[in-house]
Amino acid sequence: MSNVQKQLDKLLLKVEKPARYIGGELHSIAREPLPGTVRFAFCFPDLYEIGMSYMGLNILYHLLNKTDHTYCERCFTPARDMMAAMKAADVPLFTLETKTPLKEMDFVGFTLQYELSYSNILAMLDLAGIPVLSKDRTEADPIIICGGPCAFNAEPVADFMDVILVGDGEELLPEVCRIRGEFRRAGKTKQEFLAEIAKLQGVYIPSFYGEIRDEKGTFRGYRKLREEAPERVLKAIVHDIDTVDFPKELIVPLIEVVHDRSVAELFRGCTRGCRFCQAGMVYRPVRERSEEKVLDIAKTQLENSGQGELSLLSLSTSDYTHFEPLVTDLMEYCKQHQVSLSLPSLRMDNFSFKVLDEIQGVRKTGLTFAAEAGTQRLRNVINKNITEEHIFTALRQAFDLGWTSVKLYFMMGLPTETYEDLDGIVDLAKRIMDLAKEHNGGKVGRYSVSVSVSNFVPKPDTPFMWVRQNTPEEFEQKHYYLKDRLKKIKGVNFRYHGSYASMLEAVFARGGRELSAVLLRAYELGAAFDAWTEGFRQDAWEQALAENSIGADYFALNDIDPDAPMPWEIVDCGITKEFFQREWKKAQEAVTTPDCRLGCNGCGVNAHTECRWGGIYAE
Amino acid sequence: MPNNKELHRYLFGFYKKGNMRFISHLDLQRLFKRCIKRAGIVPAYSNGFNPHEKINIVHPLSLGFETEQDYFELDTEQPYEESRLVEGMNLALPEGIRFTFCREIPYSSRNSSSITEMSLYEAFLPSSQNLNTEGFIIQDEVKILKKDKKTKKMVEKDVKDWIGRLELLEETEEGSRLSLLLRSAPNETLNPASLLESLCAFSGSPFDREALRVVRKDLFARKDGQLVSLSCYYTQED
Ligand code: SF4
Repeated sequence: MSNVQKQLDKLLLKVEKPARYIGGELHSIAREPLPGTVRFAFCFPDLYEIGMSYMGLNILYHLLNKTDHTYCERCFTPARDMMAAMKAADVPLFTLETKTPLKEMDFVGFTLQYELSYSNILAMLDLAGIPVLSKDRTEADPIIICGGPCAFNAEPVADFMDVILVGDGEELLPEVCRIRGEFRRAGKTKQEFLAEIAKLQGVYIPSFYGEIRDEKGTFRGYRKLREEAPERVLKAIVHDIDTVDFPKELIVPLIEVVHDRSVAELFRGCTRGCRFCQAGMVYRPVRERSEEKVLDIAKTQLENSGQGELSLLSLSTSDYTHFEPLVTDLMEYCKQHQVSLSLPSLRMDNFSFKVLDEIQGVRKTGLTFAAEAGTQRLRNVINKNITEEHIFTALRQAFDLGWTSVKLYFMMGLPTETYEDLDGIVDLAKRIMDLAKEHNGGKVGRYSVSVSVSNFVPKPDTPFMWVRQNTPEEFEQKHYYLKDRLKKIKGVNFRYHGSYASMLEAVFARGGRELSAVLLRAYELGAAFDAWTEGFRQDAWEQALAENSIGADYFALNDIDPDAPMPWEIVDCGITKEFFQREWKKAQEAVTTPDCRLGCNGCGVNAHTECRWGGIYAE
Repeated sequence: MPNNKELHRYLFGFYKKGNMRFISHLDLQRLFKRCIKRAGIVPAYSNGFNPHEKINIVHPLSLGFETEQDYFELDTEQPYEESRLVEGMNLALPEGIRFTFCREIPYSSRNSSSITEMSLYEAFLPSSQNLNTEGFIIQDEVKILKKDKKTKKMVEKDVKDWIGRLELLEETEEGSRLSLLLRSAPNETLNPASLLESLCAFSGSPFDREALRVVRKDLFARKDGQLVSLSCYYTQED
């Protein structure tokens, strides 16, 4: 029994949900690693229940453990009660599989899924007893590495990281691990290793670049400090996702997690070009998995786990080339095996209704529309291709088929937004309720419309990356404005998010290396789990920002000059700046850009890989 | 699904050891449902708007306790071969939980929880010494602190009648090992931890709830006036 396990025996009865910390789930891999094996701790900087619902973990866990050189284990952020208990008993942060302290790993890898999880990275390094700053670590410490969507601008955490992987990780991460093993055997240093992997597409070594700042302290770009480092780091691209192995045995959690289900990825990327959506830009081009493979993955996963739910993973699911035959097959299979099928981000057309009607049966859950904005003008600005006609045609059909609850999602504070656009939201909700009443003999009855509003956060590598965000006060005013008007409509309820957290999100989404100090300070002051409303320490953040002279008018609340150099431009997401600028210009004129499938829009990603979607549905 | 249909009931024995003691009752239920699905077994469903699998974990253990022999019941409409059921159910289990046997028992509207009377436990109390089990037991009243179901307050309760046996097996420098046979019946369940806490207080010995290790050995029901293990309660004659 490992030392940690013995100490754990005494801790686990004191904390909530002890099963978060025991591992041992079906399809998790606990083994005695052979000497010489590269040891990798995959860390998700949030609670077990959140991290275990994230598919990327399963993909990389599976791929690394399939190699003959690397053993990958998992680690999540312990909840606050466990953190305190571990600190009190001097138990270092450990992997779930073998209860090995993270400090003994070769790699400690973090997935950057959302900016508000950054403080948890510090909490985890701290609990592990690993120096948080890259420059303070020695040969004896693990290499701290990260990847995931936020790696497209990881500057705010760059000082903590030795390696940042940008883009698709399936081929790159195993290769990086393999080289590590080889270099260690050859007795080479960490620096030599970093210099070697810096040559790989998608590898960014932050310490190989220094910032250039002018006399006012304004960021002016990067200076290469090492010969091996590329001028810019181009994202790693898996050219054909059908050739990379997708796990058929997912780890089956023993406790309830957010999503406890089998998952097959349909495709990566998106051709729709919504201007606020970072994933839709940086994961271009669309790469599909074959229908055969998807079916095989889904069925095998379900058979191997006994799970009761299957979900398909992709942006804009209905865009899959063989969507109808695939879903028809899956529905049949799921019905036979009493498995519920969930299809996120469906387009509301006739086929979707047939599908939803069938999979939801008599107990219909809500019908969801991501309208994103309240007027057609603003929807054109953001290039969200949904019209009121779509919505109402779909709703008429839905009410006929027996749906009674409708969920509408909007974003608030979008570029060029005015109060007229907010009135549009109210108007839409009202007209939907009117239609419902029409179906229900003039009464509201069981019909309901829920309006959910999130705060717009400008993200790097989108046409809106230069846009000022609303201030928390502006957001709040808008929330009140909507709340006042929506509460007058019977059957409508309204949900919105905290505004200060959204501001932080924007600060960290677009910030530079100067934010590492802010993060460290906020962590010292008690910040952790910032994505959670409960226990969110706004005071810690306010103080940390103030002490580092970063006012609220930093990036988040100011327009940025589209020609100025930006911290995230060290990474090349494959799409040209000209495309983003062109899209930004069109947005300001409320001019839409059609789906790529009607004609290539020249985003530039096809300079790096094949994109076969441009104009495939052109007349 | 019509209830008047003849159902088949299967009684399984299982163990739950090591870290799996931290799995709660609800999680164990979800786990067993996945096992059923994974094994391709078709369970019977309850009636109603929200039908659920007809399964029953007999007197589920408290979080943190291990068991060498606990019981699980599963109803089906079609008959299954017992050995195939065990094999199938074991396909999707994590290490530390295993089904050990399966036996078809007569179907009844009363499940095995309602006939169970006692649980046998073995407990190890590190750092507790000089436990006066005999003096404790011969008191007129043996009081423990128990949470009142309605008021949610801790109240004193005499549980003398709920103790079948309390025996010190061994005492070393490391601590004391005890055997306990305690009431486990519907609405009358004596948790070994509460009793041991009371025993330690009586003996003037420290009690460390978090360091306490408890293993359930078996569950018993009464047959012809005798306590018999649930595993042999249902014999051929029934
Ligand atoms: S290369 Fe053309 S078709 Fe492909 S994603 Fe870019 S704009 Fe769309």
